[in-house]
Amino acid sequence: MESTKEIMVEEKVKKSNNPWVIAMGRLRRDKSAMHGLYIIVFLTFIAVFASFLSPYHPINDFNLDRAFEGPSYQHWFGTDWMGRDVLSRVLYGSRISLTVGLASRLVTLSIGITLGAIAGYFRGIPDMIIMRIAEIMDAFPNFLFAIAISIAIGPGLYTVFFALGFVGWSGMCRLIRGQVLALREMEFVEAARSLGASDTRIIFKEILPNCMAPVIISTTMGISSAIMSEAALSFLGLGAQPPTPTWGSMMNFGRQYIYNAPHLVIFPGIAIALTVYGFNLFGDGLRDALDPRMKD
Amino acid sequence: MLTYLTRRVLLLIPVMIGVSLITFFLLYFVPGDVATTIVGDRASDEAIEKVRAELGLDDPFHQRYISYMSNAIRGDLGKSYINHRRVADEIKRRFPVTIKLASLSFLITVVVGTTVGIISAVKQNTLLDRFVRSITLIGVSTPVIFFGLLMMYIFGVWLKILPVSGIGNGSFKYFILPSTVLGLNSAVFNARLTRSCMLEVIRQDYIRTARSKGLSERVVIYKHALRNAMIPIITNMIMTIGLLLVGSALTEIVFSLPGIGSYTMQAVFARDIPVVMGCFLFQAFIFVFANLFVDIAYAIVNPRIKFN
Repeated sequence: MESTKEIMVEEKVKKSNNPWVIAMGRLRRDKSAMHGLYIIVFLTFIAVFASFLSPYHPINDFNLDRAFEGPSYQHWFGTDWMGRDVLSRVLYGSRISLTVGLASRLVTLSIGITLGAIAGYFRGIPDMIIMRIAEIMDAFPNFLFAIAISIAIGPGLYTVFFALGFVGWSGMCRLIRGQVLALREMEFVEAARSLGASDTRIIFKEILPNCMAPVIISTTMGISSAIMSEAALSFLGLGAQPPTPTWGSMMNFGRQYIYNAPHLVIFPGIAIALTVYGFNLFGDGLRDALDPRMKD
Repeated sequence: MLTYLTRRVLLLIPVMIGVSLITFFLLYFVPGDVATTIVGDRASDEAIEKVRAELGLDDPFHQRYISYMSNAIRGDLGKSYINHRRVADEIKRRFPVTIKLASLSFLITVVVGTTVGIISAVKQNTLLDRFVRSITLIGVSTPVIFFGLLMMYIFGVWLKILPVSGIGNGSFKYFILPSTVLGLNSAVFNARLTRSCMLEVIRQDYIRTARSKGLSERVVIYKHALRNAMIPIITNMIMTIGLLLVGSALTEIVFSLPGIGSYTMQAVFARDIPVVMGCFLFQAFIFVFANLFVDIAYAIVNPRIKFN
């Protein structure tokens, strides 16, 4: 009895009490989350080294004599209507999707955190104004709003960053506001305040670091929906403009030739689905690891 | 309850004003001169001036907004710059197509999504549950455009058993593919949500009590668990109606259905601002109302909600 107790005590001492370490341990044991992470790492590798991995140039290597060829040894994914190599274009397309996924989340985070922190920390009139605007934002179907922004600024890659980033801010703002409202009354915040810390310091050093878990979960989940929306915007011709290869626009042009060249739609489609699947798997795992109560 | 409802309905007014103001503001800045688009590049300056005056394009922003909205409230959403048809008439003509598509999709979402979600939760951690979870995760990761084109290729081009696109004479078979695509696309979300709602309930103490009383698993699941899980499931279903009605644009474009979504997108390509404005406003209106019904339904099915 005595020895088992000792072993148990020792075990406890070895285990870290840091919630982040515990969560990461849980994440590492989650097989499907790890598979998601492998997919993300794989796609990031492709995006970074697209110029080395692509057998052809995605825009300049066209050959009208070899248009609409199916998959072959020279062109694994076949060729498109201009005889360009579909594999190279799919590989380069990963750059757009991943950049949009990340850049649009940065926009959402900066707007959402700023407004959410102001609303939750200062309450009163700023809170009321910000939350009323958020309510109007919520009343707008997100995708329509992204389209309205795209046509107002004019389509392009930077427009997509902003449009997709902007439509998500109200959700992020609500999340941060709720956390800040709960945390601002906690003792450690009170302690910082009584030590004479400024509002900015309290928000950035005390409150925000303590509400990162739900922010990380929501951001990871947001990446996959941003990638999906980017594909839809590109499909509608509102994304990065041709000849830039994006998966959505490849599908848009490819669908006209679906009768005799379905590979033009299938490969970029699989690329989108794989990317979103990777982020969804990882996001699910991250949620389970960081917030065990939400685990299903 | 009544005060809650009144408050909730009255809240729609500022929300709709905000939505219309933002849309109008964004579309106000669309690059390109409208008058030149209408009369053409080679028209004389006087002709362009005349069109500008007719459309009130030189009026200040607030004046244009107020005159647009006072017409909109009376059901006049202006005319298309391109074919000069009345936007409101065109919406009336095309909306039935979208309604038909959305209601068939809704049927599929509810039947497939909810059933699969419940079965998956009841059989948690079995092979069946794992299979359902993988399929639904792949489903939520597949964009509707890709799924649509894939189904179109398989059933329309390859097997040749269903029409590829358009609505032909408007018969049911033209709606089979589009509504299956849109329906399954939202059914996978529904299934995942239903599953987690059910599991949430199954973990509760009263379910453990019901089991320990010796009730049969059937009674526990269908009488105790399902009834309680119904609250979020029903609210989600109503929300799905709104999402399907405004979210059918991509499906309509893929299958060339003449509904509201494809009408909006064609106007977006052509920068036909009155049509874009009218369609956006109309769809935002539907969406806001759908959310209102969600709140009302939630208040009705969940007696625990506080009305303050």
